[in-house]
Amino acid sequence: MQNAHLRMGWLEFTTPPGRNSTGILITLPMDRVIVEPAGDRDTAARCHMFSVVGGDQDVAAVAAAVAEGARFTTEGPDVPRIVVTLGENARAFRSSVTIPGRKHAVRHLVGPDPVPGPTR
Amino acid sequence: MVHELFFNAGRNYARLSPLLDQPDRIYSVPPSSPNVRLTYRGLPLDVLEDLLPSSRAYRQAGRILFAPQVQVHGRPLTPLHAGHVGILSCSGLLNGIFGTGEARHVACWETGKVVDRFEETDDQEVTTIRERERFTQRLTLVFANGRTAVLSEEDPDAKCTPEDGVA
Repeated sequence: MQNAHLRMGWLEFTTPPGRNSTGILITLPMDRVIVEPAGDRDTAARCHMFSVVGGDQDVAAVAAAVAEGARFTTEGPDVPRIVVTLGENARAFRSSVTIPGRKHAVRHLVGPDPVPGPTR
Repeated sequence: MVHELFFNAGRNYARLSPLLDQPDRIYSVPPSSPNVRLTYRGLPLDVLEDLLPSSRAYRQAGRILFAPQVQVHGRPLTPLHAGHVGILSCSGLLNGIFGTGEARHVACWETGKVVDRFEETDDQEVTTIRERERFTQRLTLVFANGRTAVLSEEDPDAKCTPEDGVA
């Protein structure tokens, strides 16, 4: 299919700069996300699944952030920006997607909710 | 900095002001050699969108996200008693559509883990917190007229939601 950029969203991960480290901003294309909005605006929405693609280092950083239960910002076409989290004890599945004509494979990360069944 | 500015502007299509028929500024572009080739070095999203469904990460996560339903086929050797039916129902082996008319509904049993928390304070004012995990069953009902109900150990007498209510 064509014009995938009109259907894909974005996952953003930021860390504030610290005393001995600089902050980072990672924005990756996201093809799927399942979010359960939170009741109040101060609480991060519960993310049941997201799928992003990107380079090796960017995807590795997002995988580490998932393991730490960090917060991400998601947005997409006709979807407003929303802060989400996979919660504690989350894990991510990574794989490589080989694209014909490209030297390096693209990394793919799927972060499923560790407890997808019950909802709040 | 400029790259980030253009990147953020490109993501907010709705906030972009429409282009006018008359340009506000005109820049002269110097002539280039005829064999100029523009190359896109970003991620090929169109190709990726087609390849991602067969990704190994999706297959691994699919065991969590889309776990196959347990299906049991066969015919019992002896008629099932009420206790047998209860065990099969609680284990989710009898999920399906039951009843007729207004009582026609979809029943789905699930097993969940609950944590019982006990706090004991002895004579020396030392509080001991004990947590015990155990499994419990939950029954979700969806009736044909739109009513829903969730029966669980915490709320065994739960009432059905109205027909136009939210589950």
